[in-house]
Amino acid sequence: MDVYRRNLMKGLVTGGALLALGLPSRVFASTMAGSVRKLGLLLVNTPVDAAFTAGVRTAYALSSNARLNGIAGSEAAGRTESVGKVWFSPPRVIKLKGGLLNEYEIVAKLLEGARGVRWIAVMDDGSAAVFMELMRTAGAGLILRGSHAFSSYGAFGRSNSPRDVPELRHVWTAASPEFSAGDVLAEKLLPGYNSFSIVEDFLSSEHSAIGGYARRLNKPKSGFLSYRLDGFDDIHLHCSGLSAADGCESVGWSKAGTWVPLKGQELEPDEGSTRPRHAQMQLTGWIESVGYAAMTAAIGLHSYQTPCSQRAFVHQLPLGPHPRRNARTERFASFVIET
Amino acid sequence: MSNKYIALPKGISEKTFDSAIADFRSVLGDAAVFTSAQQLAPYIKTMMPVPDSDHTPSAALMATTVEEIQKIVGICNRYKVPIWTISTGKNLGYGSAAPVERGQVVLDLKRMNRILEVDKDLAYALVEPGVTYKQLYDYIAEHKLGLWLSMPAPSAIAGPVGNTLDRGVGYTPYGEHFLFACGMEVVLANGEVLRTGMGSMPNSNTWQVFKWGYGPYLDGIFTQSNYGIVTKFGFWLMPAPPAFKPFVIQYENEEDIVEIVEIIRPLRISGVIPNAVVIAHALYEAPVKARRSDYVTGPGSIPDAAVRKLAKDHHLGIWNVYAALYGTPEQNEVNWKIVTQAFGKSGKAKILTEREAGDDPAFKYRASLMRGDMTLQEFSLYNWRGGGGSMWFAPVSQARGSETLKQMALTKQILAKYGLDYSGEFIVGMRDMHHIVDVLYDKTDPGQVKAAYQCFDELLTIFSAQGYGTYRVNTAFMDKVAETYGPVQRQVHKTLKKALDPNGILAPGKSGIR
Repeated sequence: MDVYRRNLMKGLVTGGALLALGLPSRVFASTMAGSVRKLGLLLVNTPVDAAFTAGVRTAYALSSNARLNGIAGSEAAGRTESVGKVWFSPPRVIKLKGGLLNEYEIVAKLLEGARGVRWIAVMDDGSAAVFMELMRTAGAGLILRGSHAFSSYGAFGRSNSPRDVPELRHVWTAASPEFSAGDVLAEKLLPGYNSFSIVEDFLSSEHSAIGGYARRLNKPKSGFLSYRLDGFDDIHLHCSGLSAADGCESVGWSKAGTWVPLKGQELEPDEGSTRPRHAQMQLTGWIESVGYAAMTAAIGLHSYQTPCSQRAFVHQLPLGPHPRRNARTERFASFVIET
Repeated sequence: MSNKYIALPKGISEKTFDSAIADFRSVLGDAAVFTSAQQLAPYIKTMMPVPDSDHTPSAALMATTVEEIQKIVGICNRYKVPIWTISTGKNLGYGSAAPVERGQVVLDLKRMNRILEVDKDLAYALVEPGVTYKQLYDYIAEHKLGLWLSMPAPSAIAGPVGNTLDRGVGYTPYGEHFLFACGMEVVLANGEVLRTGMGSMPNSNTWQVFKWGYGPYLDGIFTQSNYGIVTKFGFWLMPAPPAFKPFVIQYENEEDIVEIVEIIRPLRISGVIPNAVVIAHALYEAPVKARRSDYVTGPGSIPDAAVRKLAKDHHLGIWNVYAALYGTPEQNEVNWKIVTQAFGKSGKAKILTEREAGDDPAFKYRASLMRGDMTLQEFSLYNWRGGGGSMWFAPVSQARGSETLKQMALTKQILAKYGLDYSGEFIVGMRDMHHIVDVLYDKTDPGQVKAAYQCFDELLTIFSAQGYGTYRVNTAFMDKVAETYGPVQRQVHKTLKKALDPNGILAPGKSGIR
């Protein structure tokens, strides 16, 4: 095992850059000051460790910067009421050089010994199966679990569905919309990938926080058309480059039912309107983006304030050449848990 | 969806469930009753090709004593709330910890983890359901008891009670775990506590040494069933042999399974090879050394030519027979001659001992399992294709070469139809073979999820039509498998259920029993 600690606050960016990333500094106001929570990053020695960590690091740096900007802004305005109660310390990084299947006892002790830590983890599917058992045994809470796959030939040659599934696929299960990672990831992937899908299942459809950020249901997702399933207000679908029916089929949802465009897709006056449409992330690929999204979910930067039990983002460009950034054939799992 | 709960038991209103939860809390305390999404999420994830929401629990209860469990079943009877009992049996690929039906309350016995007795002379243990193999392993080592465990592939993170109650197997001479079970304590649905066999007699000291007691033998009805909650469990341990000689025998062609089984059967029945031998296909062993994408990236199942290349690259046979000899050095020497002569006749077998293969990762983890050591390497299987989808297909075969070849070919053919690979092994029983196939697929791909479901359904249908029964199955297919055993057995199971659990509070749907 290699335990090391790094200060992830190096290279803090400006508030302008935050806006470019779609993270208005106001968002961070509710997480300012107050108590400090511990964060951990668990790596089990997989090929995606470095890229995932880069995404985590970027998100943490941005959020730290935003927090500093938020504090300064609040002080300047003489406001303190919006200051939240929780902030997160820089993640302590634990790297298992021998992999989790060999060093499972270390992980078990870590989960049982370190209480009150929010962990982000990335690992292969074999390790993920064991990790889930270890965390349940330790009584840890599962905030977010992701399964991520890229396969360049589309997913499945002998297709059981009339249309191809996207080459880049993400399935998240989150405790609630409070820990949503989908729209952050969608925004990051949209400029650079031919096709992708992101499915989110929320075990509890309600956001536990009261007040806080503006409700985001009617906020448009850049480049997506948004729908809800008629009769089920808590099931949402966001499609780019394909119809709701095709999007639905691409993620394996039932085609029965009618998808109704969400009303009021106008921009809210106080956020988003000044945001560049195609902000260029300094992320080099989709794995970094997953790390980034997992981190934002872990510290609650982009929680979805609308009751939602299930939602999906589907993007499909027409066939033809399209620039792709560092696409790799890869599958892995991600976690955000709390001990 | 309920506002307070992430799911509700079937037919139970939120108000009624509120009352049940309040009563559970009064018995267990608030901290031992989970209802939040974060707490319950670790109980939900499965590897099956069905929505996890079909198996979402409404709550989870952490009991620590028999008395608490008696009170819990009382509350369940009062409100008609069903519970799904788990402990340390991981059941990965068989449904994990998630209940068979949405809304059932998980009763998690992991905190009942006392090792009650380990008798060095009589070589048995009596444990609670939360005891893990690792815990017992450490206890035996610490007390220098000189006893070996038999455990399934999840070894360290699994436990003897859960594994045996689901009729799991291991790889030592005690590998047929239920065969070595001896005495249970069971909380019945009416709250009474039954001790099976000799345990029913006051002051008996033979509960863990004589299995049968008097009258009908009852232990079997508490395995793969929902007739009671096992709270204590006795089982036999293997005295550490003076010498242990693991070996692997490799064959180069799939058809060689006929020769392998014909040679092994008499050796196994006569006890020359005493342990639960594994005959593993190259694709079952490959994931500890390679990834699928190293050999094939396109659609469909992996071609035979790629499997042969993979086997050659990584020093695997197409079939890899893992077995061991246990005894004194002299006994092992005699038996080794018998084994090498038997396998040497045809000239097809490549026989490797620890000396030649000791550093090979596949051999290492197999040798560990055969000596009852901890290893989790078999989970590399899930990295073969990736994407987190897995179902164990587990038909039983005669230990006869022609039968194993037929089952293998049939399985492979059906898997290929759906673009899936044959990752299979045979675990040799006394006269049977557990044919274990990991149906691996990518859960992020809706096409593969659909294909995996249809494939598994077809495997069960075709195999049962040919008289091949499945010995264990995941929670999504329990009803289907129960159906294959015919209406009379199903009715008997149901009659027992009605008699022992008239309100149907204990895991309704387990093994298709309601």
